[in-house]
Amino acid sequence: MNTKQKYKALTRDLMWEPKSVDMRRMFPLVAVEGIHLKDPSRWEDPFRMTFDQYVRIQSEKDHLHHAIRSAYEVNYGHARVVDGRWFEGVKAFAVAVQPAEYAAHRLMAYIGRNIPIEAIRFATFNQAVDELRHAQIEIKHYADMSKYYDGLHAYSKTNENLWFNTVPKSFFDDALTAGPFEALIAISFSFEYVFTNILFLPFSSSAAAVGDEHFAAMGKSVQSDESRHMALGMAALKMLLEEDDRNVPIVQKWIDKWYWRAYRIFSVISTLVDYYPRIRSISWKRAFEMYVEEQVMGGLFRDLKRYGIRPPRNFEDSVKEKEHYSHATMRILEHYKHANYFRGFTLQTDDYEWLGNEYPNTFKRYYEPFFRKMDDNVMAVAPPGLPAVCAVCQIPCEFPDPDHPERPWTQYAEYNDKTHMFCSPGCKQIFLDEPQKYQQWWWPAESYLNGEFGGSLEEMFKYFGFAPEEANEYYTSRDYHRWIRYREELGLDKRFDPKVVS
Amino acid sequence: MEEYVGMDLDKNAGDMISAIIEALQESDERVVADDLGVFIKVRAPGRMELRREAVEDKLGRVWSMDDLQVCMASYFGYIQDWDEDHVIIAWGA
Repeated sequence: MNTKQKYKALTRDLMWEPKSVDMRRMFPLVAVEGIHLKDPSRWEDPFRMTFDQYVRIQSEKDHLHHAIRSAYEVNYGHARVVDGRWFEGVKAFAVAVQPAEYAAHRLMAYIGRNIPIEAIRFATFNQAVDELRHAQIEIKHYADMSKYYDGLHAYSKTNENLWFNTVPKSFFDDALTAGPFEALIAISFSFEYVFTNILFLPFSSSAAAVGDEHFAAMGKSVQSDESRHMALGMAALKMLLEEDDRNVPIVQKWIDKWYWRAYRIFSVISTLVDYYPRIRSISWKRAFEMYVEEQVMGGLFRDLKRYGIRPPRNFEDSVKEKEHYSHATMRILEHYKHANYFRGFTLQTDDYEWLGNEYPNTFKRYYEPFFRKMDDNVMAVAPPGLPAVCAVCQIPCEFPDPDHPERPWTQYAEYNDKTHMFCSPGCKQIFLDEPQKYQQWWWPAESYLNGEFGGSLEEMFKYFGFAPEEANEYYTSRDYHRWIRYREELGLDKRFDPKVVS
Repeated sequence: MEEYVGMDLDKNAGDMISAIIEALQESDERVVADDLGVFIKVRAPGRMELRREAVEDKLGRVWSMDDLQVCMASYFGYIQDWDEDHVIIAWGA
């Protein structure tokens, strides 16, 4: 059999019409979002994947990855990176990304269960297994790091309870409580197609540049599945737009909402691109231009015009923010570094130089003074307590207005006798479109005062799963001293002068 | 201006990547390859076709289109067709 026949036999002929149960009772959510479908069976997964093929390809990917992981572990790869602060970035990744992988696994199972289109069901089944694989190979990296460094020893607890983890949680809970088609556009299109490139490609390049071979291999292994996930997002989007014209405004609304939702969760990623690696492969600004502005907006959205689809509502805001994003987010992370298990760090001379060169219009003028003051300890930068967070994305409301960077972008809205606050006009609009969905948003500071985290700061840290010494600044931390000692043990601190040998 | 389509290829796949790039460039001289650290971005205006036979010719051995899934980290454009003999990525499909 050739690829097309095999795909038909092993994937497409797996659905059947139930005789004893009403189709609408079996798939109760398929009609609730107002989506109209005429003949969705003609839609195919462009990869034409069959199960035997899937298993073979994935096991090959795993073999490749675990070979590199073993080499990294037995050679004490952690001590060989160019600067140990890199691992603080990996810890931030552990907060922002890894829980997302696991949540995406659940979400894909939910979508596949509720959409009775076999091409989508099989692709989401594959993706559900993929996401579990991603979560697991990422945890493998933390397991090795945890033998040497702070922060990750009670990972499941931290993952569950840390206040900052509400950022990815709120995103995926929002998608999981949406209808199945909205969830598909949210994750497969907005998250996967528009943004994951920035996550795994520049960050893996940085990982390789700083010498974390395991992380680089992990990132690339994950990303190799993303092409399939992107294809699912694109196929689903086109299917919804071509099946019925009445779907177009619904899909546009979802694109508007989820573009901004996905973009905001990537704020943490922008610091992983621009700040944590001592050697960077590319800046956030350049990565955003290449992947989002050129490939997605220049390519895809130009093509989608023929369906009547326009670029996402707050797209221009994200373009305006590209020269501020990583700096403003790093400033937020610095503000609350005493309450997160990934540390902030004192910028080094080469960091100032790189940031100044890559961001000539913004860094020196708006952000360098803040980081300099912190270096000199002139300003006490740790606000006592937990921040006011955005009612939608749950990130602290400390983003500057890109048109007037000296002013905050924070927005307010009254709903049901309560004032809600938002980090940006994009999040405010999302709230106003579905206020009932967001009105019970969770505010960490409020929960702390209510005693949800225990009665004292000590109990709060216990609840989060780490100790205060595991937080704060990197170069003055015990992890930095450990890293230096490991290097001494391995002789990596030695310099050999060729003149002496000859 | 025609919009670009293309792929990001993982350099770990070694000679396979060189063969894919050579095969693409032989059939269309407008294919550009940029080295971006751990991966290589290949792009072409409007349409890109990768043929299995052309890759086998460059590699000097049997090669399966399944292997593309191991090394294609990302792509842009629509996948218009994918079977054992060729992959076509294009806009406006």
